[in-house]
Order: sequence, then C-alpha cells, then structure tokens
Amino acid sequence: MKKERYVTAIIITSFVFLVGIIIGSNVTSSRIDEMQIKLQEDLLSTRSLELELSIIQMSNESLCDYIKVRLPEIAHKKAELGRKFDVGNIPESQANIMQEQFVVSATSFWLFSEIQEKNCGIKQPKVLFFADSSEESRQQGKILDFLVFKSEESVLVFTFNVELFDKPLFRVLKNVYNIEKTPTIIIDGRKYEGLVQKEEITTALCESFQLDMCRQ
Amino acid sequence: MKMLLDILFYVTMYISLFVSVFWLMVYFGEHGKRTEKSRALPLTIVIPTYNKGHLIGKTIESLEKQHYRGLKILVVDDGSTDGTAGTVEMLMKKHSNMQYYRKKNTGKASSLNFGLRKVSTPYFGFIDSDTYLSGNILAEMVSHFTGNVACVTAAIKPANAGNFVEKIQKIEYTISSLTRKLMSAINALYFTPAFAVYKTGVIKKLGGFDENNITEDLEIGLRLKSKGYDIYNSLKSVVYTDVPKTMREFFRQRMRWYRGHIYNTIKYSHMILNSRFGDLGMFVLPVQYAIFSLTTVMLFYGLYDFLAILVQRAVDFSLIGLDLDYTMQNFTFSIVTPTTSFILLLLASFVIILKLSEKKTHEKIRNMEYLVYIATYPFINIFLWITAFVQEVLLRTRKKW
Repeated sequence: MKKERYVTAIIITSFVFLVGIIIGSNVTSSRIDEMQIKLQEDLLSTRSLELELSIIQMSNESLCDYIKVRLPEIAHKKAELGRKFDVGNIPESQANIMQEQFVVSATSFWLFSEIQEKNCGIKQPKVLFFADSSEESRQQGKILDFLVFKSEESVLVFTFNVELFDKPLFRVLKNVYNIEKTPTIIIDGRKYEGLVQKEEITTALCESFQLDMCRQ
Repeated sequence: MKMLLDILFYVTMYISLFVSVFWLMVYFGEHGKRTEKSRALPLTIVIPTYNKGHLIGKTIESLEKQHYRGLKILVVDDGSTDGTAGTVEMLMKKHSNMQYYRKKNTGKASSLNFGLRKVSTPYFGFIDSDTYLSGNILAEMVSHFTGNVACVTAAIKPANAGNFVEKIQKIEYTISSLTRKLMSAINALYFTPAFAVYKTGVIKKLGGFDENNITEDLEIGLRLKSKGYDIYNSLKSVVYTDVPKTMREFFRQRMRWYRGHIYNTIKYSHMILNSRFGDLGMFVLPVQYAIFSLTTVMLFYGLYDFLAILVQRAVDFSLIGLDLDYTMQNFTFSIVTPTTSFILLLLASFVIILKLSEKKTHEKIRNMEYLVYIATYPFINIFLWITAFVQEVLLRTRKKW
C-alpha cells in the first residue's frame, strides 16, 4: 500500500475542489455585485425623478406632460429589473437586504404614480401583489409576469414580500391593506385573496383601465 | 434537511473526485509495468456444465486451439438432461486430452470441487461452458504466476452484442476489464469471474470452493485475499462469454451476482478498513460502498430536483397556456448549479474511464451507444442493487442459482 499515492491524490483532489469552490463563489459574488449595481441604478433613477419633478415645478413646463413621457420609461426599467431580480443562491442575509432595497424602490415608485394619478389624472394600471415564498405566491407571480408581458408593460406590478413585514414600511402597508393571507392582489382598490387566475385578473384590469390587451 | 443534503452533496463530490484522481494515478503509474515471458506449465481446465450442450463444443474447441502443451480438459456434467453428454463424447473421439465425468445435479461449486479432486497438475483453471477463449492466452496467463500470485484472471468480452440489453453489457464489460486491471495493479483484485487459472495446491489447502455460495468465484477471490494471496488480471488474455439477451435474463443474473456480492461482503466484512489487507481493505472495499450509497442518494436527489422543475413548468403552462412569444423571452436554463456541476463531474469522469477502457481493451463503442448507456445504465444498476440489498439483507429471501 503506497501511502504517497493517497497523499498525492488527496492533494490533487483538494486543489481541484478548492478551485471549483473559488470559481463557484466568484460566480455568486459577481451575481451579487451585478444585482447590487442594478438596485443602485434603480434607486438613483427614482431619486433623479424626484429631482426632475422639483425642477420642472420651478419652470413653466407642464408637470403632467412631462410625467406622461417619463412614466413609461421608468415603468419599463422597473419591469426589467423585476424580471431579472433573483436572489436564489445568494446568502440569506444579503438576499434579505437586497429584497428590502428592491421593495423600497418599488414602493417609492408606486407612491409617485399614486400622487400623479391624483394630480394629473394619469390612471396607470397597477397591481399590488403581496407574496411570500409559497408555491401559490410563485404561481401568482408567474401569472402577473405574463400579464405584464401581454400588456407590453403598461400594467405595473408592485410586489411586497410579506416575510419582511417586521420592517416599519411593510407594517404600514400591511395595516393599510389589511393583509391576512398570501397571495393577495389589489387592483384599483379591490382586494383578491388566494391564487387568482389570469382570466379573472384580466377582467378586473379591463374593467378599471383602458388597455390594448382588453381589445384583443 | 437542505443543509444536510448540501453537506452530503459536497462530500460525494469530493469522494468521487478523489476516487477518479486515484485511479487515474494508478492507470498512468502502473499499467504495462509487468511483462512476463510466456510459458507452458502443466495445466488442467475444468468445465462445469449443466444443460449447455449447444455451447460446450465451442468452449472445448477454443481450448484445443490454444495448442498448449500438456493441457488436460475435464468436463464435469452436473446432471444435464440435454445433449451435453453426446457432444462431449463426440469431441473426446477427436481429442485425447479430455475426460468426462457425469454426476448428480448439485450445483456449480460442487461440480468445481468434484473436478478439483481429479486435478493432478500444479495449475488448474475453470471456465463456464458458455465462455470461450481467444488467441493463445493460456501460456500468457500461466506466465503471471510469480511471487504470491495464486490466481490469474482474464479480460471478459460479450460474445453477443446485438440488441439493447447486450450492448449495455458490452460497455459494462469494457469498463470492468479496465477496473479489474487497475485493481490488480494495486493488488486489490478480489473476484475471479468467467475464466481464471489457479494454483491447485493453494485452492486445495483452502478447502476448495464454497458450495453454499451463489457466487463462488467471488467468494474464492475474497478467501484468497483474506489469506494473503494475490490475484492478477491479464488484460491481454481475452475470453468471450454469452451474456443475457433479454432484460428478464439480465435482471435474474444480476440479482444473483449482486446478492452474492452483498452476502460475501458481509461474510468478509472484517477486511473492510483493515490495514492488514492493504489497498483492498483500506480503499477498494470501503470506497465502493461509500461511493455507491452517496451517488445513489445524490442521483435520486438530482432526479427529484429535475422532476420538481418539470412539474413546476407543467403547472406554469396550465396557468398561462401556450404563448410562444412569452415562452421564448422567458426561457431560462441555469447551467452553473451544484446539481449540474455534480452531473458534469460524473459525466467527465465517466467519459475518461470509457475512453481509457476502450483504448486498453481495443473495443470500439459508438457515441450513440455511450449516450444510451449513460442515460439508462446508472438507474437500472441502482435499482438492481437496491432490490438485491432488500432481498438479501432486509427480507432474506431464498437465493436462486
């Protein structure tokens, strides 16, 4: 029995294994970096919008005309981020912070669209989606993704993870909308609890908003 | 549970990688070192047979064609009811070095012991009556009886490789030929299938073959190793054997082999993790069971993972319906996941082993045959091992020859 052969095999195996782990962790950390850059860009664009509006308010330009042009641009970016936002395989502590950042950004955009709706009468089709990590929530998310795609991103979906409800912002949202179970969606003030099929959501959206997809 | 599976996953990866590295080192470090001059020492070949009248002629002729000086052929008929006796008696008229004994049907190991008692040469071999020799291999095999070697085994190839069941066995035999060679290179070979040549004195001293064992060739191998003898594998010596043609025959044969393997491993469990038995005790025996158990768990876990994704996709399809635009834009397939890395690692090791086996055994296997083998064999084999384990250890059902 040659002990040297075992020792050499252990050294080679450990080396290959270590290289594999280093490559794996690099892939994960580059994914985290990429997601964080995207989140930062998103937060910046939300902050930029606030500043843009403040400047417009100081000028003679129509604020509502500006919003009509700017809103779809931001909505498109938000939808794109929503599609790419995936915290799978990212360590839990980092994933939670990223999810929180994502939801904070989504909330500020939602608030912005609510305010503009009141001030300018721009009625943007919106769905508030309260979800957790259950299979039903995943399925509801899939249906909403599909409807966003079919509406060519004219429908905005704001997703709130109820597992973050211990944070003040989410506590407020929970109380305002009286969320007791997941998934729950809110369309034009109407609350739907449990998994809602795409036909029912489409009907609800078409009743409240004028959408191209309702004419098909 | 998730954490436990993750730990198990990395342990399996590490052990699989270690085993591959180890065998590759053996392959590149040891193969071709041993070259002995061919010689012809007095030798008797025992052919235990039972109702193989249609095949035994070919076996005997392949032995006669060896032109081995002083070769004796001893046919032990275990109470055949077909035309075995007629075929053998006809051949005896042609060849003067043959002897034929007929006895009551008592099993293969008993026939071997019967033949062993009649052997008077210092070396003897036994060959199954559905197996035949190629070229001039007897002199080559006998030349390896040096030092502590008490048994020399040959490389086995299937005689028939037409349908699916035969083809997967062809690849399996190709791989096991190399595996046996590598095990032999570190003195850890412990089984003697289909055709082997032994030192008569050693086998008689050990009390012959175990008549209560369904895999007496494996048992004698383990007994030889437990008593400190070596078994050598000659890859140059090729024998051909008839392999099962249908899945039913294949399952039946494997159930006997695998149950015998489990039974004998338990019988000789004192050798596992025992440094007195060198690489066999410290590496080959423990690792084969560790790898098998861990890979089984990981394969099922991977399969479960894969099926869960399929079910999820089916559910999504039922929710959304068929929308090609949406499907095309949202189709994602993550390549770098731990499960796919593990499968890729297994596949890479497997392809290396296959290619080296092909090279060493001069066998030609087509890419399509590889693909079919990779997609089916691991699952068939795992199913058979689990069934054998349940029957042998948990249910203790009656063994069948």
